[in-house]
Amino acid sequence: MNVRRKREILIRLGIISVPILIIALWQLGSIILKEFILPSPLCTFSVLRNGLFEGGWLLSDLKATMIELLLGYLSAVILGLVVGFILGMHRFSREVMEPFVLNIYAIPKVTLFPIFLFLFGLGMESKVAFGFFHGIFPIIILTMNAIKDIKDVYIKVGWSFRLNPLKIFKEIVFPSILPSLMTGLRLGFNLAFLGVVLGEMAASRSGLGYTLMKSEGAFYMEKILSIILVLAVIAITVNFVYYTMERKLGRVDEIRVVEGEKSLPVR
Amino acid sequence: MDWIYPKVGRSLRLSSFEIFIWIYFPAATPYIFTGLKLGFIYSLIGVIASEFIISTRGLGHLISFSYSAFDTENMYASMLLIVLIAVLINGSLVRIETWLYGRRAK
Repeated sequence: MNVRRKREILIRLGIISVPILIIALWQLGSIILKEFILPSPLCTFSVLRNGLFEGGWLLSDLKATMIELLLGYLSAVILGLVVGFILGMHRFSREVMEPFVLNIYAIPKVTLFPIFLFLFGLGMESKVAFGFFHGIFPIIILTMNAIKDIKDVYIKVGWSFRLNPLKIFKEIVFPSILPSLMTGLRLGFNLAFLGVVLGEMAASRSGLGYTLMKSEGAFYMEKILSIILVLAVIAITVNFVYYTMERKLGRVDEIRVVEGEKSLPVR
Repeated sequence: MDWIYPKVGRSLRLSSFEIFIWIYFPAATPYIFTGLKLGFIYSLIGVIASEFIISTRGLGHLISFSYSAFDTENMYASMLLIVLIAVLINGSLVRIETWLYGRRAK
């Protein structure tokens, strides 16, 4: 018991020491490379604080990005779940659509960004659509596979207990797909975020990605680093929340689920 | 991985190196390959995306350049090329992967 407790404390210390080490390396790098190329952490944090509170240069961009992300992600979640359910339950359409969906998941979707620009213009709509397009595929794939993997016996047991379809969904289907649903939602969020920021970086007039590229042109490294910090904090927070939920529900083997049908031997 | 396998190795008096070569490595190959495949896909995405945003050459640059020049035909052509490349490479990697997993299951 005591040994285990000691181990836990050591692991905690290790987890805390990694970011400290990164900041130390950052400071060291800024001394070696000069402030012009890599500003020190302190300098970056003061620019970041200025952007978030007094000066507020970050706030409007942050708002634009969050709105785009929220709209894109929400629509990806809703539509992804619906399509995933349909493909999971209907065998024929799953077998027809699966290679298509898996391949779209693998192609670099930035290549298709100009199409979104043509369709939705330079404003926020194209980023929402692009974030949606990035986020929907992992959600479809994970929902589909989760539903497909429910054992028929479970449903049959439900029928023999004379449960109605709604009850079967609530008591059998939903609990058994919940863990991989969480993983799908997390991957979907990560990709939707990627899509939104990428779209802003490529062509837009507002948002964190846009200001990042503008600062890149002006060689304003402090701004670039503080935007990166903001993006990282958003991503890490959301991922942390999903991770905690996944761990509570029992993690699924991420790679295996994303990659679809692979009859692995039981480990 | 089943712990019985390295134990069998030990009973056969294999050295640690031999156990690694004959037991751990073959057992891990499919998983390693899945990792390699995902790594490939993500690096392709990263390369094309950064070419798209800032670069002076490359397929991603070609797309954003033809977009800004309103050269729509060239733009769709290079898109199609990238999609084909990605699908082809991904398809062959998936083939190899399925074969590896299948071999392991036997």
